[in-house]
Formats: sequence, C-alpha cells, structure tokens
Amino acid sequence: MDISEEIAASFGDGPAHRPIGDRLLAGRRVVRRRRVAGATAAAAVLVVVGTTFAAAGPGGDKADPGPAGHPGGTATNAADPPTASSTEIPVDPYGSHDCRKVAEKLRQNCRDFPGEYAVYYNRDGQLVRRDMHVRVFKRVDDPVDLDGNSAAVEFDGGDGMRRWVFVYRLRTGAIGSQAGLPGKDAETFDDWVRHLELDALVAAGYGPSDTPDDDPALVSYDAQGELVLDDGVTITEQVINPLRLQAPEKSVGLEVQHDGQTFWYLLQWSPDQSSTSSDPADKAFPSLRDWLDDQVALQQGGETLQLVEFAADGSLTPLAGVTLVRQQAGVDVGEEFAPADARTAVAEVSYQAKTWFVLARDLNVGPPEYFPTAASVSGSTLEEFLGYARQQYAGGEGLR
Amino acid sequence: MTSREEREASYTQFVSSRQTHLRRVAYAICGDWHRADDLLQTALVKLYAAWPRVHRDGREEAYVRTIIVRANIDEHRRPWRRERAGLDGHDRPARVELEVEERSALFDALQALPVMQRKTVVLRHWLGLSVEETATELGISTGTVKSHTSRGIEKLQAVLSRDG
Repeated sequence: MDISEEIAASFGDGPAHRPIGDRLLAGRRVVRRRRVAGATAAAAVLVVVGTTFAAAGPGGDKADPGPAGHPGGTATNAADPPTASSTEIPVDPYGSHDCRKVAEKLRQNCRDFPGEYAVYYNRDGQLVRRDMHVRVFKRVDDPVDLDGNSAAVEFDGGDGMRRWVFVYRLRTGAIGSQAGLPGKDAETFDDWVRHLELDALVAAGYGPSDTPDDDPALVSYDAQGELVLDDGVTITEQVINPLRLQAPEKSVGLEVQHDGQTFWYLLQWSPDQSSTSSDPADKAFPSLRDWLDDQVALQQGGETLQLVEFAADGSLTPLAGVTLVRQQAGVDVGEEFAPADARTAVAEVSYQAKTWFVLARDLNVGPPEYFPTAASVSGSTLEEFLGYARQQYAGGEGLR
Repeated sequence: MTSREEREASYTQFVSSRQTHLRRVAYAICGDWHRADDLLQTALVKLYAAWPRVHRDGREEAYVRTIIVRANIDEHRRPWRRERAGLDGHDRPARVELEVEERSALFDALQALPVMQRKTVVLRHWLGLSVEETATELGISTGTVKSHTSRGIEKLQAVLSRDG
C-alpha cells in the first residue's frame, strides 16, 4: 500500500452529513442577506481593487482588443437578452475630476487604467464618460439588484481595446466598479452580464469572497504590488520581506497608526493574489518584529513561540532557554478560551531577559496550544495577565 | 426549469457526490469532525454564491478545496473572533466523537505535523496534486511546498516503518 492509500485508509468518513436542503438554504440565505444588508461602504473602494485584480489579472492590458470600433460587434443571445438601454452616456461635465479623485485614492493615474475609469458615476450620481475619446458600444442598466444604481457597459476607453465594466453607486454614496475582458471573462458581453450578478455582489461588499475579511484593511497591496494606504493612515515602522519571498513576489511587515491606534500588518503580494494579516499592536507581542516572527512561523509552518509545554502530569515545563517563575493549573479565562473540562494552565516565565506569561490549553483536538504574551503588554503580575486574558477573550479578540 | 432550478440541481448533484470526500480533506487538515463540517459548510455556502462562475469554469472541487485549506490557515492567523469557521446563522450539528480505533497511528502522526507540512502532505501525497497545484492552492511557493512535503513525508514514513 503506498502512502496515498495509507493516508486515505487512516480515518473514516465521519458522522452523517447535514441534509442537502440545509446546504441550499444556507446558500440562499447568505445570498439573500447580502443583497439586503446594509452597505459596507467604507471598504467599497478597497474591495473593488481586489475584485478587479481577480477579474482582470496581471495580463489584463494585453488581452485581445476584440473588434474595436464596431458598435454592437459582440454577439447577443436572443433567447435571454439583457435589458437594452441607450448607449448614450454623456461626458462628465466636471471633466475628469471625479476620475482623478478616485484614482488618487488608489495611488494610480487615470491614464494607467484607460479602461478602469472610462465610465463611472460622478459626484451628482450621473453615469458619465471620462472624456469624448471613450466610445460606448453597449449598455445595460441595473443588471444587478443593488441598493442603488448600476450599469454594465461595453466600451473602448480610447486605447483601441474593447472592454467591459460594471459600475455602481450605492444609496450610501459608495461607488465601485468591476472590469471584464472579452475572451477572458466571457465570450460575449451579454454572457458576461448574465454571470455578473454574484461577482457584482462581491464587488459591492454584499457577497462572499474567497478571503472574507470582517475589517477593511488600512493598508494593502494593489494589483500592481504598490502599497495603498487608507485615508489618515501613517506608516511608523517597516520590515522588508519578512516572508523571504523571491521576486516578483514580495512581503512587508508594517506598523501603522490610524485614529490614535496602532496596528501591525503582514502583507504578501504575488502577480496572482495578495493577502493581509493584521492585529492591533501590543496584543500579545512586545514589538512588530516579534509579532512578525509569529506570523511568519504560522504561515510557513515553522515553530511559533511556545516557551513551555505540558508534562504528562498536566504541569507546565519550560523549554530550553526559558526559566519558569511560577505556574497555575486549571485557569478560568472563560468559555471563549476553553470549556470547563479542558486542561488549561498558565505560567510566568523569563525568556531573553523579559517576563512572559503563557496561557496553555489542551482541548483534546490536535496538539495542545500555547499563547505567550509579553508582560510589557498585559501587566507585570500573573493576576494582571489573567485579567487581561479574560478581557481579551470576553471581548472576542483573544490573544491571537 | 428556471435558471435557479438549474443552478440548484447542478449544485446539489456536485455536493451530494463530493461532500464526503471534501469533508475528509477538511478533517485531514484540522483533525476534528465538528470543525471539518464547519469548514465544509462555509466553503459550500461560498460555492453556492459563486456557482455560475465556478461551475462554468469546471473548477468546483478546487474552489471548495482551496477555501478549506486556506480557511484553516486563516483560523490560526486571524484574531480569535474570526477563529470560528462556521458562518453566522448556520445551525451546527450535534458534536459527534469518533471511536478511538477509527484513527490510526498514521493519522495521529499526520495531525502532529506542523500545519503547513500537514497540508502539503495531504494535497501532494493523498490527493495527488502536483507541486505547482499545491503551491497555488496553498498560496505558497513551490520551493516551500517541496521542503514542507519532504519533512512531513519523512516523519510519516518513520511511523509507517515502525508500525509496519
């Protein structure tokens, strides 16, 4: 038996599945809830960046331009035609001001994205063209049920390439767009529009995404790998490439400040995707570098800071280089940390001339877990640390 | 048949035929059936929402699998409030513990591996994905896949030779 068969045979199929009807109901419920949910307007622009990134891909600008200059040149499906609307879209009476405003937020220039901001909703909520060089071939109004206005448009942004864009302006005032390319995202504009609904809901922050995130990122990589900062965000410390990625991939660790609060970020970028990890600073680690060490170890499967381990008798023993000062078994930090019958303990240790507290739990599911926290973060006594830990778990934040 | 009926028929067919395998993948990654079921449910809800696009591209299984293997990473990387894999409003089934004998020494050894080693071993040596495919699904480099797989499989081979 080879290793594949050995692994396959090493465990069973598990308990019975939930009914298939429950799966369907859960799916419908999420889609319905996202449609009617209040807008997550604050994140709208950043969400769009990620979505467009996924839709256009790194080679987006090199796509086949298609039959440029042939209005109505894309095929339509007579059996299920989209709602046709006038293709007349006026030039923005404010000039390209609004376009520039959006682009500046993304640290981009309109000219770098001839297709991206060719058609948009301006400050008056009017669907407009950026300038007279933008040619519109086809337009479908409100192809998606959003709480606001939306339109899908087939156009040439002035560079001879036929492109598609879905733009929306929510009732909250949030605007955004999603790009599409003929031959890449769909064969025809009408096909693209037909399949647009759920992608568009994602773009608008209503739908699920591959990497759901409850909190809008204060800083992130855009599609080109440039850092994009939200308004009012200041970088106060930077660690280059903590993940030691090879070019063109890259990573950066950042300490940023926003509204008087400090946050730590680990950002990762490749031509295909980007990811973000973040925490409020000083939650458990004394410095950005300590936090990054932990994050990198988690991502790359290395050893995270542990400091102690459970002995067979349930007590905690220090690892090499660590001095155990005191410990206590069976700590109660609340149900959010561990159920009452789980094995738990806490230890005060000295490591590299610093005092740490380690909260440990063994939930009998996988290996025990250890959560070291620097005394400089939580308070200098064991009692202060336990109070801090209870507060962290009761508030839903936890220590990691 | 309406478009929604068609969509749900094809979705149901996929889920019915693949949910056992996909939950086993989740279980191999996380070692807990309750959590595995949550992971699968989360992934299937996302799949439902993305079904037209994903089904059109024929990448349903890879889509779900990627969410499963990456969600588990997020669970460890993200703050505690995001550690719960289930989605709000989803009913959880009663917790079902497996009999001890259903888990072999090999499986225990797999669970004892560091999380990224475990994932690369599962994807490469159980599911038969290539190094490149594994790297893509996990969002890591091919070099990282190779080094983790090598270390992980070495430990499992030691268990197999000891118990064999």
